[in-house]
Amino acid sequence: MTEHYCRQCVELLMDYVEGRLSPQDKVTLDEHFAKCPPCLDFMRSYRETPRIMREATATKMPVEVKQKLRLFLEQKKRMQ
Amino acid sequence: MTTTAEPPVNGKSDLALIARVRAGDEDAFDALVERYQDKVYGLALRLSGNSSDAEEILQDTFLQVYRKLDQFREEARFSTWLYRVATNTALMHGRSKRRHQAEPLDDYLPKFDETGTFASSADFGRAARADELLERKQLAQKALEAVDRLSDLYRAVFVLRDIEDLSTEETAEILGLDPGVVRTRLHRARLMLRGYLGNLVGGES
Repeated sequence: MTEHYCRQCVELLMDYVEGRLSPQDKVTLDEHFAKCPPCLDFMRSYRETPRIMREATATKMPVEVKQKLRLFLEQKKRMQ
Repeated sequence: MTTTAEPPVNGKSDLALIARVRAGDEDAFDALVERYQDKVYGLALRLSGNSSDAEEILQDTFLQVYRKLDQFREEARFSTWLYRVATNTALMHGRSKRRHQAEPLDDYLPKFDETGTFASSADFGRAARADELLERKQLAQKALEAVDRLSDLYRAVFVLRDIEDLSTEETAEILGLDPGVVRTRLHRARLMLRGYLGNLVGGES
């Protein structure tokens, strides 16, 4: 493994966080993370991004939107 | 008087409800709407970026489902078919409104120097704590803006796979893509959004 492995590391991150890397590649990445704090931080933030985005965009459908949907569909069905 | 009434629609499977809709049972269609309206609204909001567009997409989606239910083939899951209708409706809706004039997120992709090392020594770890470092309402608004700034290529993949938590295969089926393409686009979308979050919390430039 070269010392300048950050670019390759980023390319492999998806497979790494999803546990799809070969055992050999996983060892290579883990060794790199141990020596490269920026890549370790990058991996952690990459891994957390879907959760943060999912929680930040969580929404509850307003009651009035449900009522308008029901009225809209009733009206359209009558026109069928 | 004895009756042979059908059991309540709410406990029935999607396919059982669809069979009843096809037999003319309007209550069964209402039960399908009740079952999936929150999911479709959430999907529409994340794909469109605003509540008024999401409301229109929601209505158009269920109207199409009502009109096109005959086209549903039972070898697919109903939820997959419904998500496909909703996603296509949202993407068409966006195109008709000429969305995405905003600056894309490509600038937030990681940058490397000629040796393959990160070009800056930014504090990448701050992005992992964006939800702790930012006020909840501010983050919610910025997150929707960020998803909206992804191009169509990436937005639908990210929303279906990472927000709605569908499998890669189901996402590929909904979007008519090869699963490998879904994974490639998802990775790039995550990288852009990760960089965007890092910039929001001041850890990266």
